[in-house]
Amino acid sequence: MNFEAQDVASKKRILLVDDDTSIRRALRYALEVASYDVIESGTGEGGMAEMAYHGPDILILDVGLPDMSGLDFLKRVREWSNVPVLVLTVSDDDEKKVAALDLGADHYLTKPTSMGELLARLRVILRRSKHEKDLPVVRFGDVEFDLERLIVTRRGVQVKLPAKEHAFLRLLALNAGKVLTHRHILKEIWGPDDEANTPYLHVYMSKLRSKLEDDPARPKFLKTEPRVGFRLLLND
Amino acid sequence: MVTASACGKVLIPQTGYLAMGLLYLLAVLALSFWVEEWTLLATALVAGVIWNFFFIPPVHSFIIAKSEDRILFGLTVFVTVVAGHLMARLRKMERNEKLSKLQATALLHLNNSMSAASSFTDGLTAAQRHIDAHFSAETVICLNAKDGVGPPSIIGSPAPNSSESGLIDWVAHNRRNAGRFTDIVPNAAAYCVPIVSADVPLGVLAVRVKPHAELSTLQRRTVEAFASQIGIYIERDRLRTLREREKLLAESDRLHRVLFDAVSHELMSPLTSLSLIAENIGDAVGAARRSMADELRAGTNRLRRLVNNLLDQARLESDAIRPRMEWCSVSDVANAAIENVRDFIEGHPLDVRLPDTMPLIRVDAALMEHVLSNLLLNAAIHTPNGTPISFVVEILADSQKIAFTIADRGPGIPDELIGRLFKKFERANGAHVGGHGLGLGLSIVRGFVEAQGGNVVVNKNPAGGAKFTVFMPFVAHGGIPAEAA
Repeated sequence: MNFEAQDVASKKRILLVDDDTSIRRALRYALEVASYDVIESGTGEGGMAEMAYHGPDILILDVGLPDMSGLDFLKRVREWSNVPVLVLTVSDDDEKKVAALDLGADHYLTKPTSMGELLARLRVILRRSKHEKDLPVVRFGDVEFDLERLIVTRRGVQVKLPAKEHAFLRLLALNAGKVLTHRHILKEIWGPDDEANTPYLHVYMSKLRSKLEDDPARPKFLKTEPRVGFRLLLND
Repeated sequence: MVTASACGKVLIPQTGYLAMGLLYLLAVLALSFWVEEWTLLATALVAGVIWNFFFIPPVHSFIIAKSEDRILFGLTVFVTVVAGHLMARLRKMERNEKLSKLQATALLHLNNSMSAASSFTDGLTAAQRHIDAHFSAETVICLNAKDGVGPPSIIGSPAPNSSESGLIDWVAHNRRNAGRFTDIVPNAAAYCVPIVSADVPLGVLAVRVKPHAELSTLQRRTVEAFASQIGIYIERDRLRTLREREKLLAESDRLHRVLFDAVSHELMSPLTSLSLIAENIGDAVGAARRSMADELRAGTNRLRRLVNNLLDQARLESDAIRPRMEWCSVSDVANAAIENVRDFIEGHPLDVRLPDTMPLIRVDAALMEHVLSNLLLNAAIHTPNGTPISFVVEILADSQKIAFTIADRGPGIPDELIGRLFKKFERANGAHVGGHGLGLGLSIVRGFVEAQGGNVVVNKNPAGGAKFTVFMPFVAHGGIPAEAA
């Protein structure tokens, strides 16, 4: 667990909104062990109140709340806050995952989830929020992507990418660690009318993988989130 | 008549004018073969008049001179009328009998052609054609929609136009004959008869004879008889369907009971071990504690897999599987499946070979992942630790299919089990990892694969062990428009 020196003093605060008491208890335990400060609520309205009062650094939100849909909660939060949101969904509900991401969630995890996965995601979220102002160099495998000069190099040699592939990679890199939905990517790169062309994304992804991954058939960094979208993992 | 008179004129010199009477009698009797009763009666009387006027002296007058002539005249005319009448009646009876026989035969043939048909609709079509042939008409059978909602289904052509449909609807609702030859909408082209069985309205039989043809009362009765036969036929088919559904329900009941027992057993064993650990872990320390924690994790994973299997099977059975087909990358699907079971196949070296071209296929990504995960898991469970598992995906260009083959080097599958392998609850003896899993895995695999339009087969691995192959149709994706680099 890597926290920079200045963070040790200010513990990050997590608001946990989930109606299942035993899940909340288990998560609180693990999060506190990982040195987070945890506030919890079992209802949507309660959660909104806590949000307003505490202004947490991260929100962990369950989609199934007793008094309102988790997605509605997310929509309302997004109206006035940019707090990073991690959504907990039930495993086969791809539509909810996509909907959550489209409504502004940063990540999702499917229940039941392992603590290791959850903590890793939280780290990614915190690292992003720290670096929001900079445009660093993004590194994955032996590839470096300089987001300011927009140059991609592999093992020191520049890799020239056609326009669309470059745009795709840049979008993934700017949101490194986050899942981007098919729709979002298509809208950003192709324009709002081309949202149906998901197969294009697979083809471009294969091309990127063949150019940037050691084993394009078993990619380690340019990852597919099945039925939801794509995500770029960085060297940790 | 004229012929008779002509003959008479010739014969009179030989036989005398009285014999004319007999000639006329003969003529009237001969006519009875073709002519109706009352016409015959009129003819007989006319014959009498002609005989009197032209042949009985005094000729060319209605008076009959001799009294014996008058008696003879009267008697002969009387006999002619009566005989003619009787003959006509006899002919009529003969004709009616013939028609009745025809109707009975027609009904028999109708029944035969309906029974001989291979399907319900074929039977109705055969009936419709039969009626067409019998009356030289254009017949249409209209069946009420099931549950009474929606338009009727039409057998025969041409289909009824809007006014005919209106009439047919009326007949179906009011269960009375209507159309041509009746007093309800008599200018319609069709004679419509309701098809009813056990007081349940089933539809309408509409017979359109040629515009100038007629349907006699007997023929109309025949149409009604046909309608009632068809009604019986429809009813019989409905009963048969009901019976089959009952059989299915009974079988489903039985399976549910088996499932219930199996589930109770299968869920209880891991739960028992988990609760034991939970009781003791509080007191344990150090290595013992850590190993218990590991067991807890393994046990909950097993339970989760079990529950998911059960849910999948339930989904399959309730026909809730509606695959969402979309273009996916083969390597994504394969890798996702491998990731899902990574922990469980840890003890087995996995050799993966995917096509270089990284093609796109049209599948339901979730179902396909599930299928491959299940097969990989099976390979791991049924083979000894350390034995390799191979996972090969290749495109069979000639047969436009893509094949996912998962092969293991375990004991293989006994011949007698191969046929039953994909049936629910069939389990090979998973002696290597406790044989758990309810034997649902493979039936789920087959259900999911077939729902996406593919098929799955099992073979012996020539190098020893079992080989499962999933075939999915492969159509190369059109590709993307080219662009400047």
